[in-house]
Amino acid sequence: MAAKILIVAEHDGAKLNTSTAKSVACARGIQGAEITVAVFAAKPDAVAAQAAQLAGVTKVVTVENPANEHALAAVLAPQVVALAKDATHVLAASTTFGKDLMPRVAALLGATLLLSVGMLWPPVTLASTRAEVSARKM
Amino acid sequence: MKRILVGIKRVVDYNVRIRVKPDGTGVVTDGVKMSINPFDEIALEEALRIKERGGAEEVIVATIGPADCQQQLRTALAMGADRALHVQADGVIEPLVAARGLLKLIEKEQPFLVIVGKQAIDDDNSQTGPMLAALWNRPQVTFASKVELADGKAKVTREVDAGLETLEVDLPALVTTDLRLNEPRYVKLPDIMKAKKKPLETLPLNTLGIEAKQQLKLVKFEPPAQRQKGVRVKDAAELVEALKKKGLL
Repeated sequence: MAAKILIVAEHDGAKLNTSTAKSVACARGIQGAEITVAVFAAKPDAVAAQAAQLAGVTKVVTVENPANEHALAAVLAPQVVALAKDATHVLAASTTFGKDLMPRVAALLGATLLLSVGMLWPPVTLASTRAEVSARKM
Repeated sequence: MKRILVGIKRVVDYNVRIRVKPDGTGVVTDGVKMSINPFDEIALEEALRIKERGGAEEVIVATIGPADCQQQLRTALAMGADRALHVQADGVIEPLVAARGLLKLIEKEQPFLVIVGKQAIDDDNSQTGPMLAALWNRPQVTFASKVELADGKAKVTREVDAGLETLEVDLPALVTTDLRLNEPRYVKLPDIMKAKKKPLETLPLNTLGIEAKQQLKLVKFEPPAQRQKGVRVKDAAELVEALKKKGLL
C-alpha cells in the first residue's frame, strides 16, 4: 500500500510560499509516497501551476472557493478534512499558517499531530496510524 | 453571566536550565521549580484586564494534570481569577485529550471567550488552543498581540510570519496569546492569602467521559548537539581563507 500524502499549500493568493517545498521534501522521505498538493484559494490556478513544478509532486488538486481568499483556519480545516479522507498523512509547514490550521485539522480527524518535525527516522512506514506532520528545516 | 475561561499548564519554570535524563526518557523534573506556562499567564492577564474594564463578569481558570497542578491554580487565583477548575489526570496528556477535557468545561461554563497561551514552553506543541476551537466549532485567533471586544465581536491582531494581521471574529471565540499581548502582573502577598479561600473544583478526567488515550509513543529524548568552539581570525584575509577551507565561499 502506498503512502497517500496530502500537503496543504501555503500561499498568498498569487505566489506559493517556499515552505510548501519543504513539506514536499519531507513527504519524499516517507516510503512509497504518493504526494498530492492541495491549493485552497479564491483563484487557485497560478499557485497550482507553481506547486506542480515541485519535484516529487504526483498530483495537484485545487479547491476554488471565494471564502478561501483569506486563509482562515476555521474555514479551511473542514475543507482539508474532506480531502484527507483517503490520505495516510497530511502535511503542512510549521509556519504560523501551518500552526494555526493543522491542529484544527487534526482535531477534526481525531488524529495526532507532530509539530516542528526536523527529521524523519527512516524508514517511515504505515505501521502507525495516520499522522499529521508539519515539517520545518527539512 | 459573562465568563472568560482561561486554560493554563504547569510547566518547568522558564528560568530553570533544562536537563535531559541520562536514559533519554524525558527531562528532569524532580526538585525542579514549576510555574504557570508564561504564555498562559499572559492569557490570564488579558482575561483579568477585560474583566477590570467591565467586559466580563467572571474569570475562570482551568488546568488538566496531576494534583500538584493545584499550586499553579492557586497562583492564578492570587493573580485575580475568580475560581478554578482542576481536571485531575495523571500521566501523559496529549493536546487532543487536553482539548477534549477543556471542551467539557466550556459546555459546563458557557464562556463567551476562551483564552489560552499560544504554546507551552515544555513541549512547544501549540496545538491545544486550535484543537479546542475546532471541537467547539467556533472561530479562533492564534498568536494574538492585541484583543478588542465590542458588539459581540472580537477584533484581534495576530503575529504571523509576514508581519501583523488583524481579524474580526464573532463571539464566542478562542484566542491564543503571543508574547507581546501584555505583561502579567506580580502577585501580592495579601492576594495569595485571599486566593486560599477562593473556590477550586476538582473533576477527575474519567468522570468527564474522556479517556487519556496516548496516540504518540516517545522513542527518545536527547539534548541538542553541543556547539563547537569558534576559531579566532586575525584579519579579513584569514577569515576569507577559513571560509574557503570550509567550502562556504
